[in-house]
Amino acid sequence: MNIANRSKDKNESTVDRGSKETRRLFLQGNEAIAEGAIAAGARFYAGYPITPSSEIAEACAEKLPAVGGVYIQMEDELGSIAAVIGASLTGVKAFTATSGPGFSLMQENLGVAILGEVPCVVVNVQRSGPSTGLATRPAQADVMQARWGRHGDQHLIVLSPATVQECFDLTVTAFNLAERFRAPVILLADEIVAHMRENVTLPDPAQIKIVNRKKPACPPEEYLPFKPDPDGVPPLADYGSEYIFHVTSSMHGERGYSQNDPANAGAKIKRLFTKLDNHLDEILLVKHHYNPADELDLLIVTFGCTTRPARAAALRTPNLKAGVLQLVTLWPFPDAFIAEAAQKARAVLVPELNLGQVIREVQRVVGKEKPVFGLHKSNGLGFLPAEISARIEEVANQCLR
Amino acid sequence: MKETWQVVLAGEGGQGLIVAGILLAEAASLCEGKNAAQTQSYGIATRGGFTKSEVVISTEEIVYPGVEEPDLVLALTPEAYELYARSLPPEAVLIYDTSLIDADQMEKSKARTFGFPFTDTARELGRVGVANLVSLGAIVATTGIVGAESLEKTIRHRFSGNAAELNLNAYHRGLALAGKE
Repeated sequence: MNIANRSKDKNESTVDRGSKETRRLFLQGNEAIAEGAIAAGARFYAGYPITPSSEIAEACAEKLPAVGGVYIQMEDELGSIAAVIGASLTGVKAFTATSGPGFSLMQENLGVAILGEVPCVVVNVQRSGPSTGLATRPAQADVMQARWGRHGDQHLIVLSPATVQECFDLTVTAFNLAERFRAPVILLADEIVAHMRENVTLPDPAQIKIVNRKKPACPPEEYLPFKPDPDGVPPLADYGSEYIFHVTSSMHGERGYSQNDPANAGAKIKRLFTKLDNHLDEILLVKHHYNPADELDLLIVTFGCTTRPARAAALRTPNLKAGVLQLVTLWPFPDAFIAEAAQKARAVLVPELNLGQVIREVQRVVGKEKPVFGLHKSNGLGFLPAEISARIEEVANQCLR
Repeated sequence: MKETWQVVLAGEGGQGLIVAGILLAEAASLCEGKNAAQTQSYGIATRGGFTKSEVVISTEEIVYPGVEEPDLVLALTPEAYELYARSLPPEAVLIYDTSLIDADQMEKSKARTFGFPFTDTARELGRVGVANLVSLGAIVATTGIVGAESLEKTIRHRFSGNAAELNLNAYHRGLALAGKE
């Protein structure tokens, strides 16, 4: 067993958190996100309410104090993410939720969290933009912003839910990955899944896998807050404990103090990438809504709210075998899964509520081997299955018949 | 028993259509063990503006959670009535508010159409805002989409005190309007 696994085992726990059984509830996506955060162990929320994410703040204001947590409504989104970073450094699992306009304001401090290697979760419930845009309408146009919204070379994890159940499950996963890799994780939801209500099953809390950050095993005087273990992830002590350390947005060495030599900077920036890219087996999640062993006429690559209309459309193509590959992890991009699925298909279709973001990545992965078609919509409305069916028909006529 | 229901509750912001959709879906999901999904479309204003709440109830997995071909529509404004009356097939059910919609002035629907004075009944109860609960009573009595007791239980679960009493009252008036109780 290597060190990475050993430390992982040590930091997984199934803490008794009260209730002993699974609960069937009828919840809104935003409520399920708040439930998931609390189940994952989050005890701090700082945010500035914004449609269509406000119910997350509302649920946290009610539920966090009841479990000994803290809810703060901040003056704005800049302050929200700053408070989350500070809270997380004290050892508390912390998060915030927002939508496009607020997510833009959080980018600078999200960069601080990436460079400072501060575990935290940011929920972005996407709405139609740009700017204030259509405040109550859905979109999926923040895919690239989530990945590239900050300046400088940096890497982070982005997950995207398609059902209310996934809102719960993936929020737990988001916290686990943030803690595992000492990195921010974005839960990229959308107005459709966030405002939708469905029956969900919340597992027995004792059965939920919880990952907690690695704590230093050395005495305080030997602690180097940015010295990675062999898995690339440095243990993180708590502010306020006997471990006294410095976190800065400037380039820093293993001690956490400003250090500007090229060798250190190059290695640090590289490690921000490798600590994630060397563990893709723990990060990349996809769902095959077909038998992955099957040969397909058409592979439909979806994420978030495009998944379900695409699945409905795929079920209605009697003369054509279509299968939906749902990207649950959007970043790092699940290249290998897409390449493998595309190899078994004759053509690929990427429907998305934007004018072309995920399709660029799919084209990069698939190359010229298979034709890749898009279906793009940016008018504040979600896809109907019939729209996807119509596009499938067009694609079929172009290259499958 | 019908396996899947696609329901649209349409009107304008402030009529409580989203709450009505949630109550209906909860009754199916939590009291009757079915799958249910509730979605909505609304504008940025808290009052006025076309609003709809959609509910899908099914004994099967709900793949697409929105309504594609409604088989039950509640219309609480002339605009909502007009939008759906024309497109509904004969086997669908259209229920509308005669207090706000003069159906004689509108195009006749092919759907099985039922009109009840929801808003006037709510006004008699002292709160126009409970027209949504009156409507739910009439929907349940007319279609049997969920058991009358299931919805009653859901209302009791979601509201307490005076609000529970007022809403239950409105719901029972709705059941009575459509000939139940």
